[in-house]
Amino acid sequence: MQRATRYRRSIRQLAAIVALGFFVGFAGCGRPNPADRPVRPRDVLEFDKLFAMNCAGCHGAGGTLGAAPPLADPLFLAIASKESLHDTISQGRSGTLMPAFAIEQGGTLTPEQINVLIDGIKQHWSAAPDHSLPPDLPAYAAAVDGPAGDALRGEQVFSRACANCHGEDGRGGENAGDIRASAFLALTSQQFLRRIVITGRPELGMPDYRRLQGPPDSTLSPQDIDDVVALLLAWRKQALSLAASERREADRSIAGQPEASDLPGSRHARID
Amino acid sequence: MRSLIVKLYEWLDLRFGIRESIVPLAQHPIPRGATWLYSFGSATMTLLLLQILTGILLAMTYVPSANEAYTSLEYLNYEQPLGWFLRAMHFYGSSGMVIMLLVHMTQVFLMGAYKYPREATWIVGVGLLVFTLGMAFTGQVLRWDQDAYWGVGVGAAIAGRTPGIGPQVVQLMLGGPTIAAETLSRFFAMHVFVLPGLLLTFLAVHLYLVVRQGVSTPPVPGKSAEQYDAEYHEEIKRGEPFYPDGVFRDMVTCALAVIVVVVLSAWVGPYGPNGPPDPTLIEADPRPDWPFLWVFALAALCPPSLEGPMLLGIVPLGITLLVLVPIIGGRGERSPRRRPLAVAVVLLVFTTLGVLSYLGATAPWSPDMTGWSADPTPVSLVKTLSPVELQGALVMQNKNCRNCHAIGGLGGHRGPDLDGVAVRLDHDELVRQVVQGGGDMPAYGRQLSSAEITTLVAFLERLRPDREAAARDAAIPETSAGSGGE
Repeated sequence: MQRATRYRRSIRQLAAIVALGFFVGFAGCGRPNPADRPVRPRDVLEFDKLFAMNCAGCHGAGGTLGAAPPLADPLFLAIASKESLHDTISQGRSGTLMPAFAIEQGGTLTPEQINVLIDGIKQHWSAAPDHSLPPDLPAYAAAVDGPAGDALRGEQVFSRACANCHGEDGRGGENAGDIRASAFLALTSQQFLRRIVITGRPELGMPDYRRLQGPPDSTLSPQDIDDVVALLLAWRKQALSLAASERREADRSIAGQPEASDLPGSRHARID
Repeated sequence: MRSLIVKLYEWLDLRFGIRESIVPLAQHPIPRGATWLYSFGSATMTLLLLQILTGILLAMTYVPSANEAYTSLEYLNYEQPLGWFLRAMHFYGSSGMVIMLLVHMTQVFLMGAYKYPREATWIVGVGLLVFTLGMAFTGQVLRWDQDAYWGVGVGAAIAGRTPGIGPQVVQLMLGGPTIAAETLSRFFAMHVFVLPGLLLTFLAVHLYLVVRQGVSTPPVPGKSAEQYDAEYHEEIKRGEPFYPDGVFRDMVTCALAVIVVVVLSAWVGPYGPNGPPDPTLIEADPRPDWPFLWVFALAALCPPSLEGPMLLGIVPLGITLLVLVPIIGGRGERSPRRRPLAVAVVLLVFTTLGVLSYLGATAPWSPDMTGWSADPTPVSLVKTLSPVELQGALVMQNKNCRNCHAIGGLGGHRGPDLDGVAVRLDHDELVRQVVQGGGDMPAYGRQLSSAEITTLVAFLERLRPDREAAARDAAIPETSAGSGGE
């Protein structure tokens, strides 16, 4: 008799567990959500995902505070047109570390995905309508037909607006680093230098061309911008030719070594 | 009505002999002291029945064609009412079956139940293990996602190493030289006809042997297998019939096993299908299902010279060893208290499989293919970098270093994490490592310009905890002030 009672009790307990199981089952929290379906990388069209997978590595998780210049920068987005963003993303920036992302350029993004990224960047991080940006912003790209910048004038601009942090000769100071290092300049382009002069790196403490924190006369005019970029480009040219001559020198001293630069498609690297 | 049922039963009994066959089976005596530990085999069998049931239902919707398999699984997941639940049941049922089988084997091994006169039962059981794992592997392939695709690829690569007849084995396995539509058809035939047939045949033999030899008496230290056998008939007389208590224990365990599968299925939901089986997707990060993770790890961690023998040898060797267990140790002591070697072997095997499976699940040797574009440089670091070092951080991303090297825990783990690399290597060593590679690292000198190397190394030299000194060349005496020289 005792045994029968024991069985009955056990069976009742089991039945309770089964009922609970079915309850959980029909609550259906294990039901897969179609939104979680695995998607081919080329079919992803959500901005957040695309940005996190392709841009965050260099430009930072929220489009800022990455190693590369920020995209979450209202001033930058006010001067850079959608077309220029498109060109940059699809074809990269030759001479810099921005790679080409378009599929036809060997990248991984479809034209559609690039458009999603451009729209998303503009939409998320452009200045709010009530945010006051001055009406006459400097041009993003240097004018092709306008007067070229002058490096000599650029030196004066530099000592007025930049030397305070970067040092009188650009070799770095208390608050900012060396911008004459040939390794740094070799990896920049004219457009990159111009952009940094205009927008600064506000997230790292470098002010934009308006120099809002400085004295009123420290704002850079469009001419000032052209000139100081010309100065930087002159430094760049100097650094590159110096590096090239040093390299030729080094090559001559290693006679009989096969030239890496003779190999097709290889960029010569030598450490001094 | 009642009399009608009784009449029907008697009619059937007269022709089929139900009473003659079932009643002795239910009444067959089992020794006293048979505990809950004896019910794991039944639980494994119950889960097999569950697999057959859910498998049949799945096969009614699943399309075993390379074109449509993936779509039909998605249809089951999202369209067919409770199709997801069915898929989940089949997945967790399979996992549960493998687990219960391992538990059952371990218990039989530790209690010495495989010893004289039950050696044949064990050897047939080894066959059941092989076919169950075969079912798990072929079933994983039927999921026809990227895990399946690359899993077959690895399986075929292993099979292709067979000395002499490698290509023929691959041909037989894949239905051609490469993975194609025929591959899936072959695995479907294996999973649905060949292996279940073998499994059920062996199971019938296994059960016949269990009933014929009787359930083993619980082991006592100091008693040999032969003594047990001599006393078994006396023991059985003092035992009890299988029904009701033994049956009850079995049924509760089986019910619990099924309940766990049901609750897990309802709660966690089906597994996969993961990404589509497209070999052009470089972002794929395939993993075999958990019973095979240890093989995956072994294949990755083997030195190249050992790969062939290890991968081809380990399965036949394992099976041979398992078959030899009752032949070598089929006599003598049964109690685990007197068999320290047996206990040590169990611990060693499970520890090894556990560690290898963990490594397989984390797969630190797989590069993180999106690390370079998705894993940012730590913000706290970015805030302190100079222009040159910022460019170096970009070189680090642009040249895909992050795919193998993590900083701040983000990135691949194929190479060492770089958080403290400047403590380990000084400037010259960093340059040398980048340019010439070394260890498992390729030489990057040809891929980097002079400026890229300079900036990259400048950045790497910043990677050290504030409190720790940078590495320096010990051959050069320190000259800076305050370096406590003689």
